[in-house]
Amino acid sequence: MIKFRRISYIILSLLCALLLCMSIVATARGDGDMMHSIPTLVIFSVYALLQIACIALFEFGLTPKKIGFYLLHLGLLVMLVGFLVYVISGEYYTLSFSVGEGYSGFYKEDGDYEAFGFGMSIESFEVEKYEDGTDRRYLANVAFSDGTNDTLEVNKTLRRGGYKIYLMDYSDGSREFVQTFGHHSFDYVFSGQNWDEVSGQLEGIDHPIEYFFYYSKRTGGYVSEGITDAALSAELDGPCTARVLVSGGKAYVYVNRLTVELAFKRDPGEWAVIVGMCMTLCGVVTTCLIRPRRKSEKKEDETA
Amino acid sequence: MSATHLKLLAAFSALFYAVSFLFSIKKCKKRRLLAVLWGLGYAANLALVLNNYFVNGYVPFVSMYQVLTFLAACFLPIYAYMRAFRGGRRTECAYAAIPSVIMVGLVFMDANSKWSFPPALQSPWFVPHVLVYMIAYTMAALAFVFAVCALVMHKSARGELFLRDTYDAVCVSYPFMTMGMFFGAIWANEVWGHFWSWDTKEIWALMTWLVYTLYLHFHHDAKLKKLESALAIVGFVGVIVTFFFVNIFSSGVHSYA
Repeated sequence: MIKFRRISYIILSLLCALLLCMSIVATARGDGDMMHSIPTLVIFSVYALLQIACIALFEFGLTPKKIGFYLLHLGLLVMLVGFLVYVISGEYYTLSFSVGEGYSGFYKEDGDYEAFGFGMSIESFEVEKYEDGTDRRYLANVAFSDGTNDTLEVNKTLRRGGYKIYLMDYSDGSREFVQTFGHHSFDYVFSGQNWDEVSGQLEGIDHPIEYFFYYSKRTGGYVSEGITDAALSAELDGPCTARVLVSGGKAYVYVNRLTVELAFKRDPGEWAVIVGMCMTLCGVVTTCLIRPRRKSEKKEDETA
Repeated sequence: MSATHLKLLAAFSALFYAVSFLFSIKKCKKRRLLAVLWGLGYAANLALVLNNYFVNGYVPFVSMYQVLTFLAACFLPIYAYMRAFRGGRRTECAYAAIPSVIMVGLVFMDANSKWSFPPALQSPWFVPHVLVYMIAYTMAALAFVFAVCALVMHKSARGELFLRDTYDAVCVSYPFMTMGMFFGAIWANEVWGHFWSWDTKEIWALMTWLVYTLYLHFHHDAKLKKLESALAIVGFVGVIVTFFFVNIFSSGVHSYA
């Protein structure tokens, strides 16, 4: 038993060292995905085996401390099982929605179409700002194909058709555009209900205009050349904003519609992970915090 | 309160904590005086915490300045808890020294306590997550001090007592550290749909937790017991890296502070 214990400590130390090395390499390479790779799975598999061995070899008993031991180690195992269930059968996708645009599924990386089993669109998107310009709150009003509406917020998810829907982020790409030109802000900002309304405001600028359009839903990518009013009019079929930078005597116009990033997750192992966490916590509290101090210890303290 | 007032308050608190530390290591018999000095330092510390709260209008856990102010304020209540419920020894010198160091640090930090509260942090999990970590880190810092004392006095009976103090501190720190990690995971699942995203801070928090796991296992092994002080020290290095360095040198889901 003592021999096993020591081996398990060595394995635990090695796992710790391995995690440290992986963390350093992942940080140095700026590659966070590295931690989702096979070595991590190997680490967790070894860890799970260690937990099973600990439970199997531990001397059975029903004292609070021993119950704590079982809860702790079993809880860690249940968590790992939940994680495994997610890896095997869970799904996680992110989609960029434009306001007014709807989806009822999407194409996966392998080309297969994944249907949600429901349709949804973003009716409107609101952003509240602090005085310093940072986001205070943002929320999307979502309409579902069954006629119901709901609000999606950061920290307020929706459940629909077995999916949990998250509001992740939003972007109009303007920040990157300003940075490309080495500016801190735009010289002009024009908003309107459609492109025709916005282009009318752009006519007031005294500099020759170069259009830039960052992301096109139709081509599925970045567009910066050959942009005509007709193309923009077709692309921007709703409210939009034009931001103008004046540089070298030319006006560079960045036009883009706001996109809202949503995540869709189906995780059958979620409850196992949460139950495992509760068990582990109960176990840790029982073994560490509930520790009646012996009278002899108290006496020693007083004399010291 | 202006930035100068805040710095003065931090300096005032640091001074009284430091004086009470000096009194406690000299085994001062005027315990009432010690209590008054410590209480004054704590009152100034508490005033900073309250100022951070009222200026922002929410629990002051957003910036590093706010978190450190709160962290320093954790030591006195935890000392009271350890004395009353866990038979802790009279080790007030450690409990006064650490907040004194923190307060000195606060004097040189940007005292601008008005910070924006980003949407991702506006969750019911935010307060419990940070709060339990503060308690865990408080105890980890104490475990570190006791472990160093145990190493220095390893041949004497006092060394043994410090070893037990280290164990007691880790025994309180570890469950809170576990809670902090789990609360954070549940919260992350609510915001981003992932319990764990291998963010640099998360990896270091996990490593720190594993080091303390090893510490608790080594404590029960007669042969490996010699290493437990070293592990408590290494664990605290992990806490420092997780708490300070990861925020400074890397970006990720924890880059708010």
